[in-house]
Amino acid sequence: MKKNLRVNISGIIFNIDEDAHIALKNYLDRLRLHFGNGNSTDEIITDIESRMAEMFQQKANGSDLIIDLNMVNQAIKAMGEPGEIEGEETAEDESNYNPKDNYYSEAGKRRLYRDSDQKIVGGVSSGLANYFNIDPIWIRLAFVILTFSGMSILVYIILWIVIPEAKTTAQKLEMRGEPINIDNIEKSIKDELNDISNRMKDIKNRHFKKKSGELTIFEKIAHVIVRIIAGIFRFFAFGIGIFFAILSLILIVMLVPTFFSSSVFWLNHIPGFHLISLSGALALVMESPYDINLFLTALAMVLFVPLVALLYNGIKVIFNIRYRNHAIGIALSTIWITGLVLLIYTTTKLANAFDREAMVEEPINLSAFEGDTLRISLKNLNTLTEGLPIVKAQSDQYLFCSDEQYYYLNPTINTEILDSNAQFSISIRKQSRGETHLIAQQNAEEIQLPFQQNDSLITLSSYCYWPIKQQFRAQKVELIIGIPQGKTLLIDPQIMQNELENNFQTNADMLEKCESTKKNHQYIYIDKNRDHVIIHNKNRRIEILDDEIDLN
Amino acid sequence: MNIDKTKAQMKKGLLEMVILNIIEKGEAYASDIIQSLKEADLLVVEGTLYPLLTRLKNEGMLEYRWEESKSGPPRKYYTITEIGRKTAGELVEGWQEMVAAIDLIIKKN
Repeated sequence: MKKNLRVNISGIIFNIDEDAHIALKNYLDRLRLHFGNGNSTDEIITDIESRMAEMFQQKANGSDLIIDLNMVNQAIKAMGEPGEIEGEETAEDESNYNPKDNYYSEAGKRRLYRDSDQKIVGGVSSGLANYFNIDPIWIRLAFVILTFSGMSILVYIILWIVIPEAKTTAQKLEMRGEPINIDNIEKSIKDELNDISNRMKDIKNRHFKKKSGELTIFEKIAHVIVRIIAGIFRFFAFGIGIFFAILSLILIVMLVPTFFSSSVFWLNHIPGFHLISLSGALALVMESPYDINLFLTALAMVLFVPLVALLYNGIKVIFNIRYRNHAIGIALSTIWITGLVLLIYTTTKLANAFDREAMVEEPINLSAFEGDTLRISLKNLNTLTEGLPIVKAQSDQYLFCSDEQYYYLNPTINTEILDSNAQFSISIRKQSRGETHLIAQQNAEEIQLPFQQNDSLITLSSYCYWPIKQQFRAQKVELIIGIPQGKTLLIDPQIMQNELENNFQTNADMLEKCESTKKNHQYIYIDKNRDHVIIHNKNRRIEILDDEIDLN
Repeated sequence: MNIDKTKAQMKKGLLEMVILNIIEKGEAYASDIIQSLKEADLLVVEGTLYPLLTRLKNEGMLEYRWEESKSGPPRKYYTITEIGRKTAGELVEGWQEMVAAIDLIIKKN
């Protein structure tokens, strides 16, 4: 079954098959392109059409006939392809040199299209090559070389979406830069003038109904000013287009590795963030890889869609693409909204995991020992944390994460003053959050802080840890040391030097109640009268006044 | 050497002169002209004729009038103008001189 149409060729009605119609129309378009935009083109085309109508009429021989593709092809063969006609035209153009008919050698304003005739992948490179009037090989080479940086594939895909394909012959002509001749310029100026006067008439009819006829001088001046402003605006629009295209491209370049690589170069310079990737950071708080991927996808959708839209519009402005694709707009909005919904879902889920807080206090059973002094030594486990990703968990603590089994966290140390007849006590206060109170409590119980007692010397691990499957749930560990009044707590200053800043918190209360005892230069003593803590070492003195640390 | 191409170029140069002469003999429309040219084997594709006719008309050597046709679309009947007649005469003269001169060269050898 073939569709056929009724067409009017040179005043005669024909029935024509659809494919034959397309072939005929294409042929006439080709001729039109070939003869250019001159005044005589219409006449030539009309003559040729008329001759073709005559040919069809002869074939029909009075009867009702449907023109098929074969007949159109025969007619085209008789009339000749533009190339064959051109062969006979060239010599004439040379002999009858007529500047009016001559084309300017310079190409007209080009417009960016994808060139599907020369395409290898999507015709982007050949389209760009047409636009810049260079060999496509250079563009392709650039794309291939830039592929190693990982960016060009994305850029290519974006360009593929943004740049329309040259489908019609007119678009193909525009893509290559339409030759402009005097007639053409004249015509476009006339068109524009008509357009302007029509528009002015419109305005006049709307606003100055009393007046009619010619434009007043004021209206003309106003119109010129409007045009100048429009020109300036267009110039700025171009600049803004370039600015946004480059900006969005830079942001995309920076963000893509954030999503896909294990370390982010530009995050490395921010203290506390080095060595951590986005997915790594998410793995600290999210249990299932499914959730992590969902979150990353949602975040990428929400972040990249506006950037892609910005780039799209920037490129459109730069290359003067007047091509509206509502489908792209709808698709981008849909993606963005979907991303936003997913992002809200995943973050809500994550926030839920932090909903409840629980605390577990675990007293350490100290064996009895002689004397009035308890010594605390923290065993430095720095070797364990070397090279681990660090996340700054709280203002004065660091969370270390090993890929294997554990997270590490510095405990904070606090003191409390007990009655003079009480014994030294140490308890570990573990805190954690969780989806429910029970889970939070379980999380807290999982935290471990190993210690050793050797007579009056307590050796504590300077890091507590918990299994990696427990995730980060804002765990906190506090070491509470109870000091009976009149007794002395000594903390190994060797450890202090490293740990002081992060771990040791003085307690103003403690300072008032404790008795000053100076045992030797290696240990801390607490001076009640002077209201501060002094640590003596062989060659340095560390004073602590409340939270301040002063090294001299 | 591409003989066909050279021949085609020779014919090209002569087309205007021949067209003017055909119309000089009497009013003609495109298909008549095509018929004559084809008989003389001067025309490869018909499309070539139309730009030539339009140009000759624009240069004031030809005029046309419309005539309704029973068997097809209205026809453009071309007639030659005074300028056209003069040009045709000069072209034919030039052609004959050329043929004579070239003949001499050919016969010498």
